[in-house]
Amino acid sequence: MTLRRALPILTVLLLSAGCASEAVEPPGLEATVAAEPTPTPSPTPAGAVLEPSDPDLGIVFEDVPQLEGEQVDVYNTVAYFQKEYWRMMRTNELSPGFDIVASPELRTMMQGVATQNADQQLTLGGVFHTSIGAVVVEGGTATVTVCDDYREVTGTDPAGTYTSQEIGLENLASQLTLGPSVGDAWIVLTGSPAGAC
Amino acid sequence: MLRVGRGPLVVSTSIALLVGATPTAWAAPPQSGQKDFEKPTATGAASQDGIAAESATATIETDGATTAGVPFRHVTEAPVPRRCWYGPGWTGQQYYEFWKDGGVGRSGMTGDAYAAQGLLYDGFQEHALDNEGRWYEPQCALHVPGDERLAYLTSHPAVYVAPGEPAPAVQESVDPRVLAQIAAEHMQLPVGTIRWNPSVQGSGATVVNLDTFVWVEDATTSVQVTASVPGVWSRVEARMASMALSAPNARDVTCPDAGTPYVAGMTGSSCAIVFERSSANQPVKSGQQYPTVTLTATARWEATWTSSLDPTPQALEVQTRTVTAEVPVGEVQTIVTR
Repeated sequence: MTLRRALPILTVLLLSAGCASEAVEPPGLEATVAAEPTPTPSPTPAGAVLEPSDPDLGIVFEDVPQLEGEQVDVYNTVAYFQKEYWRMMRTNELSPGFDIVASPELRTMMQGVATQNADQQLTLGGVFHTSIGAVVVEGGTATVTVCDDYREVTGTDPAGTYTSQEIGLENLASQLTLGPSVGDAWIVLTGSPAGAC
Repeated sequence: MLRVGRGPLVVSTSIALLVGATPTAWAAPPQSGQKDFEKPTATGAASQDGIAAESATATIETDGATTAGVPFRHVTEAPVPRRCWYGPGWTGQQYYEFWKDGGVGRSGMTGDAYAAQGLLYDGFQEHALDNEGRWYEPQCALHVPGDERLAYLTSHPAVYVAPGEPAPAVQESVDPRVLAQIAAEHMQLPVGTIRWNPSVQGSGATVVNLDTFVWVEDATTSVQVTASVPGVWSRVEARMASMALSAPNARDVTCPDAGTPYVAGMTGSSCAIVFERSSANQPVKSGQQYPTVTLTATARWEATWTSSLDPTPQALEVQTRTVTAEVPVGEVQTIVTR
């Protein structure tokens, strides 16, 4: 049984990725202090088995698209990639999980991030929101757009605790390119910036 | 009273300012790293975390001979982009802890499905307690086509290396064409020095309307450059195919070689040029004592390459090397006496 075959096929179409946008306060109005709402994952389309959010890890998949066929496999690969990315951000260590979904070049990049944060004794926590969309599969190549949203992420070092903005985390979108891997699965080969979320 | 009153006031203000300027313990927050696809990914040596390098080191050996028959040889190294390779990965314990039943790797659906397909390393449970031994994993660089990557990954299972055991022999999968290109780029072809005869003692001048024998001293005549990584080599073999001579007021000449060094009594040469005018009307160029013309010798090099994977020679682009000399050209004046 292969990874792809293990995944039920969903016969619906997908589209774009986008982070939940924050409401803009109309000018001239005094802002009121309110508890920040905790977003909940979008419902997974019926019939599809998609990589779910993981409350223990602190990752929430938002704007879950409707997918079909190989798009489901691609989505799950990228979702797993995002989970390993966030696990790395929390622990400052790569895990063997990256090996099955990321190219050596991407692992090198991730190791650089982990080292940078570990050198500052910076550890991240909170909730990482992400969305995966624009899933396109053409032959042996797939592309997706991913949005990383750090609004509920916090950073801690020996001197204190910081918001994601204070430690320079930006909500950015990126386009990932995937290729075939062993077991009839996919692997994230490379990425490119796709602007702000 | 007023003056007395002002004194203490001024002093108080100064103290307040000083207090305000006292450095606090505040420090800038740390800056977190995050995915950044605008930065090029690093390459280099493998780290202890199992991140493999995307470049290998090729050894480049050059052998050749000069016009004087003197052999030369030198060896250097250069980075070469890898295609697929075995890289050091996780320790037995790290891998086991992640992928064991109930491990973090099995907590998600995709990871669990990966394990269910039997894609975990064979016998990984046997190394559950080993935090020194390490898995060596097949990896391919980005530029490798998908089919080739898949073929390599599926035909190269991970290998476990116990503490104290040597790492598996590295069989680099480097494109021999890339090695041949690197070899060609490292092909050093010393151009040598142009000599000629006649060469009047003192001025070095030759004369008009006579064959001026030309040769290039210490020029390379043949060279062989081998670029290799473990398991693959490519060799470029090059030889000087011809040498063209050109100069103002002389017909262009193409010689079959770098010329024949003059020896007394020599009446012919494989490379000669005839100057049809004196250089007396030429300016005296910088560094020269006499008016000269510029003699240009352009060597044409032909090269082919072979590899350990294909012994059939394949042509490389022709290369040229140019060397010049300033040649005084004089006229022989004959005095007829009765």
